[in-house]
Amino acid sequence: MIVLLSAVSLVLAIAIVVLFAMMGELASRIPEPGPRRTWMEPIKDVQLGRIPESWPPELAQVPERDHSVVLVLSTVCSSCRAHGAELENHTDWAEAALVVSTPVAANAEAFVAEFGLGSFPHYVDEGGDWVRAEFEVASSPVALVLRSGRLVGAYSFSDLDTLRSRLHEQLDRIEDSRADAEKEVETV
Amino acid sequence: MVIETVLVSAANAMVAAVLINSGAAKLVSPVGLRGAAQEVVPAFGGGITDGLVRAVAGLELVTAAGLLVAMTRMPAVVFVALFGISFAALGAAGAIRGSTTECGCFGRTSGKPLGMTNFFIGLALLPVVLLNAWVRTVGAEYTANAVVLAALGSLLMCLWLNRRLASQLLTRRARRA
Repeated sequence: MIVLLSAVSLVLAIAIVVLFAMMGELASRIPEPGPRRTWMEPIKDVQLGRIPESWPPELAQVPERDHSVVLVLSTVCSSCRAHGAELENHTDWAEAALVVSTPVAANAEAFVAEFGLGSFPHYVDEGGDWVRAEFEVASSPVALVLRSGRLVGAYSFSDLDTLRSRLHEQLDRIEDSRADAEKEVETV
Repeated sequence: MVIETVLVSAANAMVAAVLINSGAAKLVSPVGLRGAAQEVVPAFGGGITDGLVRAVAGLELVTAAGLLVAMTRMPAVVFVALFGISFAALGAAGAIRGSTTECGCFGRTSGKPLGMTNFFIGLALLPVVLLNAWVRTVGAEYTANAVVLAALGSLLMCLWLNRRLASQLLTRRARRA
């Protein structure tokens, strides 16, 4: 009798645990109320100033541009999938290129096809080996900012609109200070 | 014999509580562990499916149940050892690789990737294996004790793991009232 009652209590406990697991799953799918927090934060432990030893052919144009943004997205990361969907609204972003990090190359091709990212220069990085070796980046999503192929910034970000607008603000500030410096030289 | 029985039933109940919470989370949402395991061990490739994760979750629940019954205790201990080694190995791999994918190992509310927590939980299962190997025979009250303690432990662990969700629900209820 005691064993039976104990068994019933265990079954009830397991049912409650499963119920909480279901509630947790549902809660994770619901966005939090209130104004959405947007951010763009620099990533630590990245070797700024580094110029990669080699560029994959798919990204050959990146070091030739004055200003580039390489987005590192992973096929196994849920926020990366969200950014993949966002990129459909940023097909006019000329400076952007993609590195799709994946355990299996076929998954990366499916990722690019699913979100229509074929218009961006993109490289499939199996195991994330290239981006880890060249930039010491082992997480995603990450935005790598490069000037003529040299890494000048690495950021985590909440969404692409925020990333793009803040990077443009940074670029405008750099160009303004460059213009001010040139004027000073002319004056002298 | 009584003290050993109480000790083994308490230890096995704690392990069963861990396996129940872990198994339930994976059964409900296998996608987290699937993605996290693929990230830390790329060699797994597409071999890890939702079905496989759910099968492992089912095995965890069966192991937990087996651990609580005197007759099936020892076979279940073998699986506890395997789970302990697996948790520790995946946790270590996650920590070394700097995994960022949420594994959902104990539910989606925790939001943690594979790492040192999983490593230490895996290691913590192994002394229980040794304890069971040392205490070969348990008393007649073992099953009842273990089942009650496991039920209580599972509930407490579930409430702890989901404390943020629980407090959100309680706060919203209080506001509405």
